[in-house]
Amino acid sequence: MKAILVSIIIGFNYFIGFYYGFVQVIYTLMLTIALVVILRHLNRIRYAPFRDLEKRSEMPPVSIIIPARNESEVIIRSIESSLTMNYPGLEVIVVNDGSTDGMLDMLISHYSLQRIDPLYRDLIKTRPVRGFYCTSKIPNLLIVDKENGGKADAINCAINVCRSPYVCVQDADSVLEKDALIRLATPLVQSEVPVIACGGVVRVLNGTKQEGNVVTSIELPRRSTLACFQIVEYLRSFLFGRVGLDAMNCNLVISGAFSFFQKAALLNIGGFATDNVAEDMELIVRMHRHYRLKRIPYRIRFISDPICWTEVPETFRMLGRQRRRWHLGMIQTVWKHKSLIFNPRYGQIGLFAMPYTVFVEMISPLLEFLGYIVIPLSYFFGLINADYFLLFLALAIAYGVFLSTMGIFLEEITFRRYTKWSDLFKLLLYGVLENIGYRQLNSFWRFQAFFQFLFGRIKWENVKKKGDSPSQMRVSTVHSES
Amino acid sequence: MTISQLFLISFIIFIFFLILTSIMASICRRVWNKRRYEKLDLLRELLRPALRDSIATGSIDAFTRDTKIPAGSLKWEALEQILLEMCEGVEQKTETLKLFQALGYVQYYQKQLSGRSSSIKLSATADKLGKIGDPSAIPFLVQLLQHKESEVVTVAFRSLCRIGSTEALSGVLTALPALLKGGKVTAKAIQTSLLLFGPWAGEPFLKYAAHKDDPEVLSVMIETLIAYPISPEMFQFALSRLSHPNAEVRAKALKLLARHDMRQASFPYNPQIFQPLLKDPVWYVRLQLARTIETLRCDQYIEMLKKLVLDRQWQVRDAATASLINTGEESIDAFLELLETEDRFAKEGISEAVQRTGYKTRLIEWLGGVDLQQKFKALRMMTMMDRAGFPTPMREAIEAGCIGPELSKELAEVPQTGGAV
Repeated sequence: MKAILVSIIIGFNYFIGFYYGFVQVIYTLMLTIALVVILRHLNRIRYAPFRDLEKRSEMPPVSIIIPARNESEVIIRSIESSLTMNYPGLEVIVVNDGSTDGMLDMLISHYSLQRIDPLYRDLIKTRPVRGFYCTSKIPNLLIVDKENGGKADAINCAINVCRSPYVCVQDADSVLEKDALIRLATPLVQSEVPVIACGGVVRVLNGTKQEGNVVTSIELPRRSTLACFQIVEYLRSFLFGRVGLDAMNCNLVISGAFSFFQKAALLNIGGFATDNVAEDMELIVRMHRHYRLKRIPYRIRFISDPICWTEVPETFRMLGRQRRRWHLGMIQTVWKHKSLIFNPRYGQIGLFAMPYTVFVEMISPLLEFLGYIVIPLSYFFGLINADYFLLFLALAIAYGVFLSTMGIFLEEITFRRYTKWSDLFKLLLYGVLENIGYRQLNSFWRFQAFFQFLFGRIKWENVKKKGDSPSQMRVSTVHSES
Repeated sequence: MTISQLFLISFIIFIFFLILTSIMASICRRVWNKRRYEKLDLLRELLRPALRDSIATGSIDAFTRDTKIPAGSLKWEALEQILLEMCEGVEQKTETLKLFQALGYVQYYQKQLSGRSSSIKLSATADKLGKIGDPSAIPFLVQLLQHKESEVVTVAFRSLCRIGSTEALSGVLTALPALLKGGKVTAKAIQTSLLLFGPWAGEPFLKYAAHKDDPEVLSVMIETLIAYPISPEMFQFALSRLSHPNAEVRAKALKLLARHDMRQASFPYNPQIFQPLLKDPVWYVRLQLARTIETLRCDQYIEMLKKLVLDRQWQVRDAATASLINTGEESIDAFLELLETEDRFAKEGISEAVQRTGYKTRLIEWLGGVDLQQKFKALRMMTMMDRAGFPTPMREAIEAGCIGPELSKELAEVPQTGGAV
């Protein structure tokens, strides 16, 4: 019996070793692809016709959707940021998803809103709508007041209401750069294959300085180490993870904080799913599934130069909640669409994107966390050689550091937003430190998501982020009370 | 030490080497960029006044004779940036073009075009030639329209449009049918690029479109013409395309007629020409018709809009309602008549449009006014809207004190149902 147990443990150690090697090979491949693609994209930006298009009435009208619940501290900033975008035909729809902090009253008084009773066609079923508000001063602003139903429900409601052929979903705690929308919409005009969804880069708002609704100075947050770790993480994720996947038309996630969709495509698939805690990922997978099954040509794009600034959590508790939710959403999505995995009918989505998500993104925290327990135990019980144990640990940390520093290098050769020398050195330092402690903590939170999934504790965990007023914490993003 | 341990150690050392390389690369890149941009800024500061002076004093030849710049150097880049900035101003266009030629930029990029194979490099060079605007680049750019990469073709097309000469126009229009057929450039990209030609191109575009029957070409050309100054020929051309067998062409022709300046121009036409389109089988033609007849205010346009408000397609109903709202006071009788019908969708559509567009403010004003007829009509309309589940205007009118006690009593019997929920 003991011999079998020992064999299993040794086998597990080998498995972890091979799995780790396999994951790193995949990451290296993606990094190489991203490096080539991003440099090519930068060259393309030089002759992209943004300036020609930004004032053209020929550009398709776009509705910016801002789902919001209890966002009274930041909602005005978000609305103003959306209304002042460099884009010719814009409509802004704010959905108050049953706020309890007086957000609606504040909006009514700030914009002198008047109630109207428009015809509500619930093409996608949502929780009841309580009222619509508009103002003659800003004819392209509409506020919808509805019962709480979650972020997905609020977005679906806005899809029902909006009249534009394209919608851009923005989180209430995010700020878009002025030309973010025109940069996102340009592929629509130029692509021969219909672009049904596209997303841009999400960057960390913490630490930046803003004037009105514009980010004027970009610096690393001084007080929050956790926010700095997340900056490195976001750079790595957006500058090489998604760029690499986009090159293969395999992106399964477009960040919910900033995404752009063809309205007809959203209606074709029945809008956002309200039963998933990571509705953005589930939607994209469903889009791939629908269009591939129907054999309709389509593209889902990730573009690396339109930028949306968003706040990130600054406490371990809130960050843990966020990461658990993201991972839980991924597990839910994979489970729901498991028939796609290794299914040649879905092309590269079935043969690469879904297996990559399952075997690299989804189960990695599970194996990593188990590895953190089993490998040291194996060492203490003398089942593995101490030298191998230490060498393997060093290799794991070194490769993590390499990926982080490469993310920073990509930022340096591309957008160079953190202009201070001290910020560059700090970023590099955080890129190293991130792999000692922070990464392991992240794995633990993501590991917890498996328990939540297995024991049916599937609910949206509220994430409080630091608002504009430092004395107050607020509940960010829309969440369901159900 | 075993071989596998040695292998692991060497792999770790290799990764550390990669980490150091990426860190050093980040730092070196920043240092290099900082120096480069400092030099560029300095060169621009030095060259800009010298260049301006030479243009102002007419001594371009002396400037080019004294300025010998190796192609691709920083100075070359700085000068190019200044010249491109100057190019954007109409007054200095001729001088900057002369400078581009004399300093060898045009020849350099033309040579680059023939030697390059990467689609990004070709596109970047084509874009530069378009921005420089030298007509001698036209044959090179026209040749690029045959390229297999759609990216290159799109940029070459835009550059030709940016150059904006008659030769460029001819090159672009000759290639247009094949480009649309081959799907190498999207219709939207063509349309936004064609506008770069400027106002003078309206007439040749119209002549070109008048001789074309290909629906794809016609649609793009009609859509482009919308941005050009109106003329009787343009108006007649649009009218003549209303009976085209292709629905998109019919819709685009209606869109061209719906330009806001068409009503003021008041070109003569047969008012019956729009009648057959009321029964057009394609909904977006009817939708566009609703907008056009409101713009032109043709004979019986209110009657026609009333028919369109009862259309089976909601988009058409909404467009017709919006058009009726735009017609102003005269629409109230039409609305009252439509609100009396059994068509629930039409009633709801009207009620919504009345609120969204601010027409309700006008209704409340009428209700509080002295004109009894208007007062009665406004009250009737609000009552019907309330019955259709749109009570807000009525509530607001009561709050504003527009409704006296005798009317309020009468209104109390009207069911106050919620609209949105």
